Amino acid sequence: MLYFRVKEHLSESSMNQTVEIDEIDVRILRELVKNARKKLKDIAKDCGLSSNALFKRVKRLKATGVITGTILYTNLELLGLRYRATIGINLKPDKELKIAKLIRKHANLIAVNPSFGKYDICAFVMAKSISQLESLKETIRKQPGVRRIAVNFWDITYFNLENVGLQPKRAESHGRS
Amino acid sequence: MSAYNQKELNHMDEVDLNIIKELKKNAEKSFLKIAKKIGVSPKTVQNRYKKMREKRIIWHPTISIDLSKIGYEGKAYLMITNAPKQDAKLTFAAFNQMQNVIIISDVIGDFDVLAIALIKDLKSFAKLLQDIKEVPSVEQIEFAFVTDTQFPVDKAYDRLALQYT
Repeated sequence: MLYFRVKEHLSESSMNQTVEIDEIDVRILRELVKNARKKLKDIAKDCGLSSNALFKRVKRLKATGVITGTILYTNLELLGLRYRATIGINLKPDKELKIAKLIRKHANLIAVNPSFGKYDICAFVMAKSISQLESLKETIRKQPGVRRIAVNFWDITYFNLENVGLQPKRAESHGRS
Repeated sequence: MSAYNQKELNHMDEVDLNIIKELKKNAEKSFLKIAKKIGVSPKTVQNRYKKMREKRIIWHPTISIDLSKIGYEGKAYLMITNAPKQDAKLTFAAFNQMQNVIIISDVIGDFDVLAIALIKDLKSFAKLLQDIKEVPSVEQIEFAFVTDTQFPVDKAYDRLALQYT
């Protein structure tokens, strides 16, 4: 029974919603990942398209939910958020939602996700001070069901966004390679 | 990490912060629209933007992509322990070359290096793990897999900064 439920969930959440993209779409995405402010006119020129054709493609990528918006990477230290950390938590079963909710409420949160592998929940947070992180850690630790919590500080970080492997994607078929 | 300090922050004025604020809401917004919104000339916005990029206050405007739409299943947090007596830079250099490893960080804590990799399927994940194991400076890999498919990060990143501008 569980097997079928899992299958249904998978097909709803991802498989049926994939979007077909071709080489030109990939090229457009790459340009925009490099610089979201690049003039569409210039991208059109690089791709050998008319501005109108390019505009239509970008519009489609947005409408189909491939492009979801923009991110402006900034030096958050300058805004007082000096510390970046990952928090990994191990829990008793079925406590994930409750703990995720608690982290959302108390942390300067970038992301919190249930996970499998070393941790049951992975969160990515920012903090003004170490004591702010310490108190977050204590808040989580006091929750029933929390077995272990690991805070790891990020030091020098490199963002290699251009490493993203974007490839053309054809219409969904049964055999996903 | 701390090449910047409070003094630099003080060099940023209200106009700078307002520009960051508008770009955090939408990094594609034209300088003209931003200028109108915050009540300065477009030329001012352009100059300030340029300056903030030079000073590395603004790193990079990028688009966010829902990778599940183009066939990805999630991300892996790869937690690497470096081998003793090996140059840790080797780990970094190796990760820099690996496709789909988008974030690499030195870590102070349980392990030495954190890498975030985008994962298409089990096969590609196995291949990635194999590649990492071949790096001589890597002693041990642990991982946690999340089904988050937002590239490069959740929009919460920008929302968080908005609270502080």
